[in-house]
Amino acid sequence: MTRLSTLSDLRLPHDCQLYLAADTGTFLSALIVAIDTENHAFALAEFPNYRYISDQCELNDISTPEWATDVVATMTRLGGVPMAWADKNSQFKEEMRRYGLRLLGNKTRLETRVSIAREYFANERVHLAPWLQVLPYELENAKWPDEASSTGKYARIKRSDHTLDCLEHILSRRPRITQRPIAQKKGFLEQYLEDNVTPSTTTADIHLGNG
Amino acid sequence: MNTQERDALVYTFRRYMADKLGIALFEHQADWILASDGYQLTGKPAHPQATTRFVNIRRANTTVERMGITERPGGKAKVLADLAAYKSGKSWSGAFYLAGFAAVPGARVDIIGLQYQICTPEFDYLAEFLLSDRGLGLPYTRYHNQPKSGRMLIEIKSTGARFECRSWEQKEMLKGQERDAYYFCESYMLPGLSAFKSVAQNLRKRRGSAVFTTTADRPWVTVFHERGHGQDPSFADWHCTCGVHARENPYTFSQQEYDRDHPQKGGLMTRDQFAVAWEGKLGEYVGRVYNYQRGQRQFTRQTHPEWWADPAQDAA
Repeated sequence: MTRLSTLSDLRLPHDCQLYLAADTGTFLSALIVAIDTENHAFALAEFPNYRYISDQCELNDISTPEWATDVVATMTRLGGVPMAWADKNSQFKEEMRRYGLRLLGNKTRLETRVSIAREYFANERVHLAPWLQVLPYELENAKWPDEASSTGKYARIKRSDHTLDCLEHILSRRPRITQRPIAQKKGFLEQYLEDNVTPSTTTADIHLGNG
Repeated sequence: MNTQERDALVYTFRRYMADKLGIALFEHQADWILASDGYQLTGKPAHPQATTRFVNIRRANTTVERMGITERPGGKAKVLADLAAYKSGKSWSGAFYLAGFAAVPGARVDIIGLQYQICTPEFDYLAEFLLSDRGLGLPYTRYHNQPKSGRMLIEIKSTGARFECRSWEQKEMLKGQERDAYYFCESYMLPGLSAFKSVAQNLRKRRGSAVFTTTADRPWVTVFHERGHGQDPSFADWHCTCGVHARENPYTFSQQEYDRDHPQKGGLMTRDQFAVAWEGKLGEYVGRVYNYQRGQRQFTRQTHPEWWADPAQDAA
């Protein structure tokens, strides 16, 4: 009998890097994304403190400390650092620090964040874990407004988007692997031979001379 | 009259109407209307001697086929959706469906549109089926067709069955009533499933139905697709007919206009618009930020085996 895959079934490739983002407020959410060597983003785990029931957002019974502890524990277990990109004006920075979660203000504006995230989608560089529930819903339901605002801004409608915000925060940083494997430095002799000596291409038997 | 008797009467009257008026439904029309009666198409021609287990289907080449029907696994569907291309015969089939309630004594049916004018196609077809000389020519006690003043009502004399158009702009007036059916015209215009939820309680006592026929112009209508294909047993009484191509209605299909709009032929429409307008697809929507539909872009053991602890074990 087959069973549904879960986060514990994952074996992260050693050369991927983990990123975390959080959206704070009454509705909390966090998202862990792994970036691979080709800069593809893999959304691994979401932590909303809410769910959608018939298109309505409803809070789950989970306290902020429980939520933060869960995020930190999962990030740490996966081998990442519990530092999360968040809105630059988040009021939760101090509180989250108490639970070991450090929030970093992302100054990128919403329009830019969406634009970059769309770029990732257009190039098929976003992959979602099959157990995610809320992020797929929010991605599917993200909508443009009918018109630009009076100030000329044309940003997506800010509704049902807490986990989506997290994805956009991460992607807007254009994350990439910072610790690429360093190429082994060659010794003097190896380098000299490679640069100056052309390898022999003859197929003749060296024991018989050149004939 | 209990609800089972009512449903049987509606089914019988609809068949009588089809026989008398020589009506043959398109396949997508028959699909959702049969689901409301607790049947489904078998996909095979009916047995030549069949007297009841068949339905006449009009094909795109206008020929009529006698197709077999069988019981629907989930029983009678009470929430029905027909997500089809423009001009594929949604309003007509909606009116045909509603006309069945004319036989039910004291039936109460509401046709809901964003505004009264939105209900006009269904209401006009309904009047034609029931009241006109071309149709059944039933005597009526009341017939108003004034969309601008919000008076659109048919009341059948013999049964007292009443069909009334309602505007969603005055949605508060829909509360606290008892209905046999709600029909939502151009459902995509409505705010979402909340349109149904806010009146669903009015259907409870009479075990009534809610019908949504629309093009898939807004993402919210996928809720019917997700629940209406029998995967979730708790939504066994939901039914979805979708992906209906405009070509299925040969009386309105125009190859010239189709080619004019086709994006791969340098047409006027984007791929998204074309898929919705001509192919009745749910896929991608105008107004969406991300080109994404739930279930897409998942990484699994098959697509990315290097990400999984035990590649031999298949994902569910």
